[in-house]
Amino acid sequence: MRRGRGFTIVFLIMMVAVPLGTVQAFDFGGSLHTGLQFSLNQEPVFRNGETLTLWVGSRLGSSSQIKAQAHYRFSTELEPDTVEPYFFDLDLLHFSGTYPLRGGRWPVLTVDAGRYTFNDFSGNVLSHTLDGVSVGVLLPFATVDISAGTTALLRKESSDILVSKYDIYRNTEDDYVLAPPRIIGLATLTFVEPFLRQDLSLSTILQFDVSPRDELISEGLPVFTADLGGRVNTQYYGIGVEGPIIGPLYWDSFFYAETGSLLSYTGTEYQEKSILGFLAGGSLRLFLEDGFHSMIELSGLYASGDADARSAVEGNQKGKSRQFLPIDSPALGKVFSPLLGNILSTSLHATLKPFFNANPESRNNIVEFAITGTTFFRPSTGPISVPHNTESDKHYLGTEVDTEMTIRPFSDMGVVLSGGLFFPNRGEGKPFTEDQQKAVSYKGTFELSFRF
Amino acid sequence: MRHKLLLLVLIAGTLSGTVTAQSNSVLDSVMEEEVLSYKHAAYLVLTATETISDSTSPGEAAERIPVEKKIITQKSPDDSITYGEYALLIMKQLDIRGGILYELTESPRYAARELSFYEIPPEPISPFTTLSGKQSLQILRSVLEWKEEQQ
Repeated sequence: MRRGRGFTIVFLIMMVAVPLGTVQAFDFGGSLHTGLQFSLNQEPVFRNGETLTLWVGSRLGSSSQIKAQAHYRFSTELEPDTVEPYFFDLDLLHFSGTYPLRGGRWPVLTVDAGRYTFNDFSGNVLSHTLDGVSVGVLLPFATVDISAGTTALLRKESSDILVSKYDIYRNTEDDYVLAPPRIIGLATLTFVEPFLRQDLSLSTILQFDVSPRDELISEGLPVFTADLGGRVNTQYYGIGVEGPIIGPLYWDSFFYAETGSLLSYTGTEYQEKSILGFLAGGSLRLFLEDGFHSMIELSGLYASGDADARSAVEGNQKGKSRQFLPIDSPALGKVFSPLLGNILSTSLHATLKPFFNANPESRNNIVEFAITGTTFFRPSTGPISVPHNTESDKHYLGTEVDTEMTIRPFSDMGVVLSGGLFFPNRGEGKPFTEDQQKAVSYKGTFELSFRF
Repeated sequence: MRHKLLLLVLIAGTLSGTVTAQSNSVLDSVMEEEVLSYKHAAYLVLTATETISDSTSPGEAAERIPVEKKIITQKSPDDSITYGEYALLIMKQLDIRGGILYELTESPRYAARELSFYEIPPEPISPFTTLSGKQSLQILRSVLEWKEEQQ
């Protein structure tokens, strides 16, 4: 959909989302959030944003509920001026219901519909807002959940899904209001503690690219086009285990195989090629209640790469594309945060709540510190999703240290101070040129939020 | 403290079915209530805070809500009470501190929000909705357990 259609209709959607007949169980609220950010990679960036979020919700009978949430954001960016100053969007329009099927505790049918967050069990392949439907069945020994959703109605600024060159192109073009259209199906089967108190999850995710063909490159085109590509369809098949090991020590691990297809320029023309990528990860977490309610986590992620690819997105040239390409991946660091493809990272994360019991009358004086150290490698010498030195054959990319302090003096007010430093590999044959990464890149943020 | 513990035991026992309903006629009535009444809310909270003895009738308990605190006005003992009003009664009688908006307004709405902040009840309830007797016992039990943990 091209720019020109107004979005005030979402206000109307919010107003009719809660039937008047259920006014007794109706509730509403909101929050004000202000954020200041300073970052330096090549050029200093100062950014400020104020966000007003409003929500309404209501129970519909004893088993169902509906909630709608929208936000309005005013942003300023001193240098460079790249953000849209005024932005409004509907974040949530979520109906959810829980219905016992035989009148007893089990089985239970769950239904979700509308705009809400869809997650795979690991959160590393898909964790994104979509418009769609989910149906699940809860059993004492397992849960089954089948979902389908689309990105077609999301505003492009609210979409972090960058699977194809067309996604990247459309994100930068002012003519477009909505995100590139994709249809995503997700099926998850989780066995609850089938052995040794471990939960076992199996997942299949199907991602169909339905971007308009007339804006894409066709198979057989003999000329390479750097900024445009074709449709990228992907499928993911995952398995994961999580649970306690001993005492306060917990773990989780997962593995995904990715298949699919994408257009590849072979040197003479564009041809449809298949994808075969892999993602694996895991973490160990130690909870120490007596040690200031601290938690220490050691984690690792591996996402396969393609050594002879031209770029991280649609850069395949020969044979299968080996680059893992998630639908939406989590931020790996506050400063250095490439997409989860051709990346090997290890991370040590610790949180501390030193004043957790300082005031026995109230939990209001909660202060939490967090520190994370992450080292980044690339498993192949192929491309990563951030600008890098294509001549380099180094695998070590750099190390990042992030800190965060959260202060919540009142239940309805909170402050977050955070900062990150990224130290790129500066050795011989370094993976980043002087123009791509300074000796140290950093980012600092101050956020204040108030709920009402 | 003794009454608090007694009430906790009674609530826990009643909810789990290990204490017979006849052993406490008020709790029995509360358990049967589909919509919590003001008098029963007052009885539960004032007993828990040792403001009244457990031999006081629910009707008398409703009249003992301190007028100067203006927690709930214009309610007769048999009127229903909303979750927000019940939360405010709990917050005021148990002297629980709240956030900025609660301290400024001392309203049912923000009292309910305060309890939600402490994850009591586990799933947020609209402050405008009514409670069953059983729900009210579960909420009071959670608050008392949380208060005990803090000491």
